Amino acid sequence: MNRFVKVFVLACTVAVAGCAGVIPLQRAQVAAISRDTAPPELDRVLANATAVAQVEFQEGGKAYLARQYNLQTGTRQDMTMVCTPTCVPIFIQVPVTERYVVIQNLPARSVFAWGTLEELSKDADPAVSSLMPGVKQRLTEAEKKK
Amino acid sequence: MRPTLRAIRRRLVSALGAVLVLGACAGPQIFHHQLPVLDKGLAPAQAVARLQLPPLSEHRAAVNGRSFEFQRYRLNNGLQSDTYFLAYERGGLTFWGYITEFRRQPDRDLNAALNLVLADPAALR
Repeated sequence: MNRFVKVFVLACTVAVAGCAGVIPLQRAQVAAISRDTAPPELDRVLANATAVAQVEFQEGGKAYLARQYNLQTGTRQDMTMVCTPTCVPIFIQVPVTERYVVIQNLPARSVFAWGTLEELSKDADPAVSSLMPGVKQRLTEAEKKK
Repeated sequence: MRPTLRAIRRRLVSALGAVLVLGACAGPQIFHHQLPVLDKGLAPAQAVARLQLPPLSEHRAAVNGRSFEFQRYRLNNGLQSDTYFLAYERGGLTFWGYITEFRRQPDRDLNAALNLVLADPAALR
């Protein structure tokens, strides 16, 4: 096979492999979330992203649903050398992500809080920040089980 | 005149040495991925244990009868490092962030207390 065809096929494989799996959440999706967002609308907004962890839990006599996503905050360029036998560098764009959490009240599924783990942990509303140590622990455990 | 291979190699070794020296001068830093380990209410020693790094300096400031403690770190964002503070009131972590984040948060006394700390450049060396 022509060397350039081989390189092209390999580049496509690498690119597809990079896209497969977890689909990150985008800023445009996050911008559509507010406290007034109805549950079906919220599900529609988040539908194109992969929830990497999800937990239902009770704390302080209230029930919550927390879903964790990977928010894309940028991209970085990765390089792979393909040698067939001459070496050719192949550059691929890899998303840079940050863990992002959406918390809903249950059973109403109304929006309670949303943000990065850091933002929610230091939220000015004590009802949100006090919930976060438990949320982080539960989401980490759920992510490990997946 | 074109530089010889030996000259190029010498320059590369010098550049690498400079990078290593600058890296060492940057001092201990925390990284963005460590921030989710912080929770409100942590004692100073608990926060240090979770970050696995002692602060570069510690400061106290009082405003309107409220007393605050600050721990100063450098946070590496991947390109550079910037000053990052952890603030405590009554022994519990109450806020953390870059100086700009302190400016935006709603507690005016906390912001004024940080200004008192920042007003003393000797404390920030």
